[in-house]
Amino acid sequence: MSNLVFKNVNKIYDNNVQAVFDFNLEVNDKEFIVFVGPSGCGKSTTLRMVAGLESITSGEIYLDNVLVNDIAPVDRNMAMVFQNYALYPHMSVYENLAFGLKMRKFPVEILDENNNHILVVDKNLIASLKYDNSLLKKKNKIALKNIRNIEKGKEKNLKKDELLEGISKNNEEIKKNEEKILELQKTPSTYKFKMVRMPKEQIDEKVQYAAEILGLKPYLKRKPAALSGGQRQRVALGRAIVRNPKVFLMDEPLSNLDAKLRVQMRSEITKIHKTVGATTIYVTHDQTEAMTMADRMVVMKDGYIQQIGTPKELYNNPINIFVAGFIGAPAMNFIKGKFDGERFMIYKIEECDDDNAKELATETDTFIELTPTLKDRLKDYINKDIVLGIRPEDVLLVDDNKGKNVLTIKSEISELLGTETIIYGTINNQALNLKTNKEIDSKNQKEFYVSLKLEKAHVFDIETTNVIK
Amino acid sequence: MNNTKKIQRIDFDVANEISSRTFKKRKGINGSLSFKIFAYIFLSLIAFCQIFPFYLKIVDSWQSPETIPNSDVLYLWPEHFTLKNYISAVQVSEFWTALLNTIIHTVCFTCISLFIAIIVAYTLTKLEFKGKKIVANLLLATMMVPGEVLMIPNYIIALRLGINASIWGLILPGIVNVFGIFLLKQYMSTIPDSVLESAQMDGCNEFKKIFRIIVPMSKPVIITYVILTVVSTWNEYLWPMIMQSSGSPVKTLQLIMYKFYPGLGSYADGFVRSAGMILITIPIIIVYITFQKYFLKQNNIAGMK
Repeated sequence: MSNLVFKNVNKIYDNNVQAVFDFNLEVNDKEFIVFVGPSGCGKSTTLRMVAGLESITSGEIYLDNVLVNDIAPVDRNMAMVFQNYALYPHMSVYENLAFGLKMRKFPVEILDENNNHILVVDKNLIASLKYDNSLLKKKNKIALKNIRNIEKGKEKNLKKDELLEGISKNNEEIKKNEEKILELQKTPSTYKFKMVRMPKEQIDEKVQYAAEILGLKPYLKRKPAALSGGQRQRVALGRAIVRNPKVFLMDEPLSNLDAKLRVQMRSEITKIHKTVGATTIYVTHDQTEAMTMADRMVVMKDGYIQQIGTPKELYNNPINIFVAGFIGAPAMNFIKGKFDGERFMIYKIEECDDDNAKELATETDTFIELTPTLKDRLKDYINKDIVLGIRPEDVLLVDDNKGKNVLTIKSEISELLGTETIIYGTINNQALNLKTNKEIDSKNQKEFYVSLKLEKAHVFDIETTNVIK
Repeated sequence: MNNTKKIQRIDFDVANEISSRTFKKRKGINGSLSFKIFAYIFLSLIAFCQIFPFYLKIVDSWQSPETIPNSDVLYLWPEHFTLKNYISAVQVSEFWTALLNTIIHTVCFTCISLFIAIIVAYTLTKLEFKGKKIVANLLLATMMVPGEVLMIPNYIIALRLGINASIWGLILPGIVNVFGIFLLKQYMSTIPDSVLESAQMDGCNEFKKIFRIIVPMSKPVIITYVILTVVSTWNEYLWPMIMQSSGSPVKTLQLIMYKFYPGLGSYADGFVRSAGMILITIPIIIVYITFQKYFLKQNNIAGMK
């Protein structure tokens, strides 16, 4: 069992930039969870907070119901795979794999002559209680300072009563802890143990096991410089595997590889996850990676979680325009328009002459008849601007413009991807791309007739960008 | 406002065509045979100028003490080959104590200053603390001060500390080698942080990070530093002399050089002196030859002063 819980985690850097806002998540045992989002969205920061490489400004992270905020990175029992592999270049592959085990000391129980447990005073628990007390005392000091400031009239945002209440609460807790400490000091409550290094034979066993899984056996004596990118990546994975961690953390492990190798390693990581069976947190900016590997995905933007769900949920029911646009390739089409109670009118978008950032929307006579379910969803939006989202695969090519709801799009560019073609088109100056199985070249044909699969369409509020349900 | 100036725009097609025609020769210069011959002759000449005087000294040291050299002859080989001069050079009083002192001075100074340089360079590159830039700039500023200016303050410090009469009087002043710190710092900043983070997750504390990860990774630059420091410490003359003038009994090889005059007659004394100089230089040459391949490699990477 190893489940990971985030509770209201925030991260503010020293230069007052907040990278992560109120992060709440529960990761289940053996789950493969992917944090995905554009660069600078806080996904790596969150991962580094889990690993202990970055301090947590506020909030709590629990691993198996144990608060890990103040636990050193080694003792969290997690392993991390870095983007640039972070192998030790002066050590051979074998030494690289074994280093983590060599460095660590493991607690081993000491037994007496009759193989009975020896009970001793729990010094660690006492130390941690004392540490808690010191933190509480610090909090009290700050509160007292604030109270003095309130009396002087410097501080106006805080209330004296609340602070006093907090102090008395803290004092109570300190007393409780002190009583506990006294009790613990009197009664031996834990088994005696010592810290030992792992024996060489066991290290060898583990290294050989990891090398076997990853197909690294022939390269154990080589230095990382003599390996290819994919092999280095595998060594980095192996270094994580040998440690038997509760949680695997992977920070964009595939982004240094070329496209072909990336696809190959993708399936290999999934396989390894199945064999090793550890809870995994995987960070990537590549939505394809996220979609193919994840049990559940966390889509992030600007430090906020946008949506959490399985890849399928996120694909079919995106919560807002950002998620809808981020998941799926090519991206979803967003058409701005107006709902008049029956039909959806597509605006003609023009650039504003004085201000490039502004867009001018003018009304046109391009209409789409909406389905009853969509109309039902939009009953509060009559005569209001909305955004219609439709995936390129749900835009269908039709032969002529005679039928109902047939739109005419203009296209300059198309991409042939073997079995399918992507046509980049526009309608009323708004992008409308489509994916089709037919072989078509925009060079020969500039205009296409399309109809939309409206049962798969999403409608979004233009102001909040949230989906309208 | 209408300030449209007429700009003479470059036509890329024309420019590329002209440059491909006219600048063809440029590429040829490096590779041409005549240039290579010229370069080899020129470099050989310089090398000859460097080595030949040294060779003359060696020949001098091999002359037998009875030889009376003819001033019209350039001796490319001794008249009567002998190693007697080396024996008389070694028999000079205090030679062995001076040798021991010099070795202790060089080894201790190199090791301690290297240790300090590694720790300081690591702190300045990989640790975050307030005022880091100020510290780095202050250190850099001390490099602007010429070493001679520091002689008097260092002398006073050594006297006040009472270390002037021991070997520590030679070692401790100047033990913080700012040049070395920056040499190492330059190299360490190229080591990615993620390697250290990975080491941290593997259970290394700061010292283990330094000595198990950083030091092995910066081995080439450390060797460069060792060569430079060994050579300069071995050859140090001014500071040991100042210490000696304060009444220090510690003598280094450079200080007893004047003693290579056993008083055998003017020419014979000259031969002994040559032998003594060669003897003093040998250890440095050995160090240099052993490590020179690393030294040359590193010269290009880490910025040299």
